[in-house]
Amino acid sequence: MEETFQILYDAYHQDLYQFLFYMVKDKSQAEDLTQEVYIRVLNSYHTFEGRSSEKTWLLSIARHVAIDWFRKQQTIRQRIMGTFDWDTQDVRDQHLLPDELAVQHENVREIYTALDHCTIDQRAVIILRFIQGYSIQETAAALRFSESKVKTTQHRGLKILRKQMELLREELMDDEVILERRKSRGVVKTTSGG
Amino acid sequence: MKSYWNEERVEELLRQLPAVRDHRSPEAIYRNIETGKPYRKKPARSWIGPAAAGVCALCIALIISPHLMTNKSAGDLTADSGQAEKASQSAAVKPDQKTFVVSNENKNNYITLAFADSDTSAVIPVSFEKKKPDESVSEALSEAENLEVPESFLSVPNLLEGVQVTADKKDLLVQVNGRLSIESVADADLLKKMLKETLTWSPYERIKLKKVQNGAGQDFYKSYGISAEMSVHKQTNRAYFSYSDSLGQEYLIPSEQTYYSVYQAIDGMKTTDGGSQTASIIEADAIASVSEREDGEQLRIQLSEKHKVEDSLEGILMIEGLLLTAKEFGYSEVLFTHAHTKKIGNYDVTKPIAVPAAPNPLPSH
Repeated sequence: MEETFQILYDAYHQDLYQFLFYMVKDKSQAEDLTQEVYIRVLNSYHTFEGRSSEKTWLLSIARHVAIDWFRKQQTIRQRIMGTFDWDTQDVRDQHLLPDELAVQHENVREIYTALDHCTIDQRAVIILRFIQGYSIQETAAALRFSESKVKTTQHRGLKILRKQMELLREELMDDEVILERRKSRGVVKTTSGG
Repeated sequence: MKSYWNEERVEELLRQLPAVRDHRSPEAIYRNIETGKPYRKKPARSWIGPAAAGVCALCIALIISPHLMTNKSAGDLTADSGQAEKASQSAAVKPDQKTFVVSNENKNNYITLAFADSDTSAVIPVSFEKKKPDESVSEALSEAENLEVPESFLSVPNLLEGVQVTADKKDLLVQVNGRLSIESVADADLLKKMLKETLTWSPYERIKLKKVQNGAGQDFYKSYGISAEMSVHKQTNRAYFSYSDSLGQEYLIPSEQTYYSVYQAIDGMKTTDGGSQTASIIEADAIASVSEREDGEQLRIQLSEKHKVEDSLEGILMIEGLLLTAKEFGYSEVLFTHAHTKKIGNYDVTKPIAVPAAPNPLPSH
């Protein structure tokens, strides 16, 4: 068992952890969920027939572990808030930026935040395709989607991200316009020191 | 005005998201997995007894007084049970599963029972190969808790401890021992759904619930009656959706909603069933038209030119979900036209396909 774990760890651990981190956006939760994946995998490893790759098998289980986690989060929220609209599968959270992201360019931090507006499936596809660098075929195998579904989900996810980035840009431009007007009226002093 | 952010720029930004690494050692993780294992054991039976007794009582009560149920929504069994820990999973993922139905030729070799996924409260009909040719539904139902299903799946005996199931002509008799107490409306609703779903796929017409008089709780029994029965129509006019358990195993499960016509049902299959548990198996533009042969025996489904149905898991789920839906409306076969491929799963989709006998076959138990 330990040997099997070591093999899986060496080959896939960081990929698995990163996928789960970007799904749930919380390092501590990602650690717990990664362990959950190993438990499920090790419990049924003897039945693995090698008809799909180990990597896609692990990621397929990771996706379901993440979905279970979201379900539980929503059950808790539902109890507190009264209702939850599952149709939108909105998975926004309020976690702080991890250190790795805090030092990134503002646009990178914004796209990270914008991911919250994607559904679970859109987020999974986008993580695998653009953060993990998987091909359409690999993504389809890992998520057990058809390739056409990967393409559609990816397209819809990117559209949402683009819209969010546009909204942020418009807000920023509005703020700048207001600031300029105030400056011209002498309400706000410039801080350039000039 | 042209958008500042196009897909390429968004993709580029996504690629710049940093790698995030787990800095724990493999030894530390393995230790956590090892210590985590007891948590994954099957739920202790201790909670099942009292809860199940309550469930049974409430179920009987609710069958007799159906109005009690109307203002209550089905809840989360796990959540309502409180103590119930998430069960570990033992079933294997089947990455290239070829079918989700029992064919008509095999119908005498299978028994179909309903289970509830304690993670989600979804009710799933699962078909098992008979252990012996003359195995009855009552025998299988009595021993359902020993069947090889994911451990989060609850069987009727999981909910009704001390249950004895026998058959009498067209009736399935479910006898329950023990004192009864009400615990949760949601659990009772779930049990009711499981019993009805089991009945749907059985040769029986009614389920009769009986309690065994044992002196304890007599007043309670009097309050709720000593027996109850439920029956279902075999042709239930439902649509099919896919359901995925926590290990990724897919199942075809019927909608809670019923439909006036097969056309409405197929339209309904393009959306979700109103819950988080199920997923649509038909893309919105996958079907061009639906009609039936004059004799009403054959449903004809013209696939769309726009959406190619492939020989894939998704394609198999769609074809078999449609076959099961056609069965719900009394059709004996389905003819798919304009398919882009000749073969999907086990089917030659250029020829009429007989509707299957039952959903979700699992290997021999």
